[in-house]
Amino acid sequence: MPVCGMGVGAEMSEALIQLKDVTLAFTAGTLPELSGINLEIYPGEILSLVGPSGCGKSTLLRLISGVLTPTQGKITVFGKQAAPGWPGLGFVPQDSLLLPWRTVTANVQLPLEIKGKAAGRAAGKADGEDMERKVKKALDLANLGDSGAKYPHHLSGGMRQRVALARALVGDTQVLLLDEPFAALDDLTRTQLHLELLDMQSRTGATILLVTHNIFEAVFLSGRVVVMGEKPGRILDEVKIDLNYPRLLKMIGDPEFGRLVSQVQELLAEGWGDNYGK
Amino acid sequence: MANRLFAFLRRYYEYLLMPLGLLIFVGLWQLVAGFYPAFILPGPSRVGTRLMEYMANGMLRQHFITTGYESIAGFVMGGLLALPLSYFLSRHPFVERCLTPYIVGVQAIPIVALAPLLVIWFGFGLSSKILVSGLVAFFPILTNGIMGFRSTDPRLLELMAIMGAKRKQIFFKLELPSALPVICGGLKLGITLAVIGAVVGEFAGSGRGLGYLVNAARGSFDTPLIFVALIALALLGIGFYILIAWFEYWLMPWRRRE
Repeated sequence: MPVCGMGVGAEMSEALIQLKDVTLAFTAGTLPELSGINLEIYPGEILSLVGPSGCGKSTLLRLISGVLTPTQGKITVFGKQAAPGWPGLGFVPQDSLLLPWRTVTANVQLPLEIKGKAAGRAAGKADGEDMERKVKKALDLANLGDSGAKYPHHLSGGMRQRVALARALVGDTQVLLLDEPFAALDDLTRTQLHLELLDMQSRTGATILLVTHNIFEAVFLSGRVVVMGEKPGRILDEVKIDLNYPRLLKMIGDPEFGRLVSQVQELLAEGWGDNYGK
Repeated sequence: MANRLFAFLRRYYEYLLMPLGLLIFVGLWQLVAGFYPAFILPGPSRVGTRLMEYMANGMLRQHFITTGYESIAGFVMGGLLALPLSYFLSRHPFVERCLTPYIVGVQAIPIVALAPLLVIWFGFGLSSKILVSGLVAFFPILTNGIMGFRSTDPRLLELMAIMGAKRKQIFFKLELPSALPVICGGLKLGITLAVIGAVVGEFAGSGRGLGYLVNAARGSFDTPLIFVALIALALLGIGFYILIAWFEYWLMPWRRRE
């Protein structure tokens, strides 16, 4: 059974996304971008990928999304090979990447329009109403209730990122891939969005894969933190975050929280390969 | 009374500036024209009389419509060819590179020099004028189109791919709207050039149109009539430009200022 809402203890169920010995080399003969990646992602969990810039974290997300194909190895999603536009996927990029000519509502509706046509359905009236309902639900999930008619250039960075989240969540999204979604925000907005993301996750039961270079963020949000190293991009180790959901801000003061943060930090430092900072 | 007048002026003076400017211009023109014979610089009163005559006998309207029709037909023809081609070339840089020397070459020939040839080939009628007009309108629309389609954000293209968008969806939902501002810039240039093209075509050989009117009036030293034709041409150009600007405003509500 997929674990809905809690995001922990998911290991009992079968992996939703599976990467087996995945290697990606853009040009043959050079150091591969990613090498020997083995990773299983379980339904309903929040998993973070942390690592130095250039270690291939974002590339890994693109492999899972299906727009890149591994040179070697296999990536399966729901037991099928990952292909572009696989159903149930939502993607949130760093710079929100909203279409400036669409209102908030129309931006959120975009994936439904694309999927609707891809499924070969004519957009009948029933479909239109269905779409409207789904968009409204996604807007509510992202706390965008009354901003639907605005254009992106009227919104703050935090609001844009909420729209990007709503766009990723709309419809029957089961997996969210987040590519440093909060990196460009100020601390206060970032913390706010952390809490909102956790709330969204508990309400939808979505599986979340988060790429971040913010260790604190990774520990606060995730059930597992996967630490990556560079040259070639590879998985060094993972840290299980044994903190209960729902996560609360006061947990940050917990000694256990601090211990987990420094554990991740030490793993990252090991990836540097020499002694400074230890 | 005076206070009220001042309040009125303070409130609406921006709207009064344009008619005021026109008034000053016409006044100065009348003044300067007094020093010259009418066949060199006719005053506004003479030009106005000639304008009234030509409007009354319907001749101006006829020439105006001819040139307007040639310009629009040329603009539409040039645009309909240029826009699809610009998308194709933006997607195939290799083909673009092969064609660039010819595109630049044809563009480098002054249209005034090319127009007589086109009149020989396509005759004295409307078609040669439409062709000249279309030819000059074609290039800015083409180059702006290529630039516009190329400016699509690669990160957005990737996002569309992640969502599983098909080629057609990528075009209509991403590439076309993101190219629109630059395309509209090209259309504005194109429509203004289309009018120039039509007049050049008429100069090269024709029996009607505002360009022909200028030519005919010059032949009979009817300088006031030249002015009438010039005013009509200016109005035509401005009218077209406003039309495109309005189209642009209507097409892109997200770019409107609050």
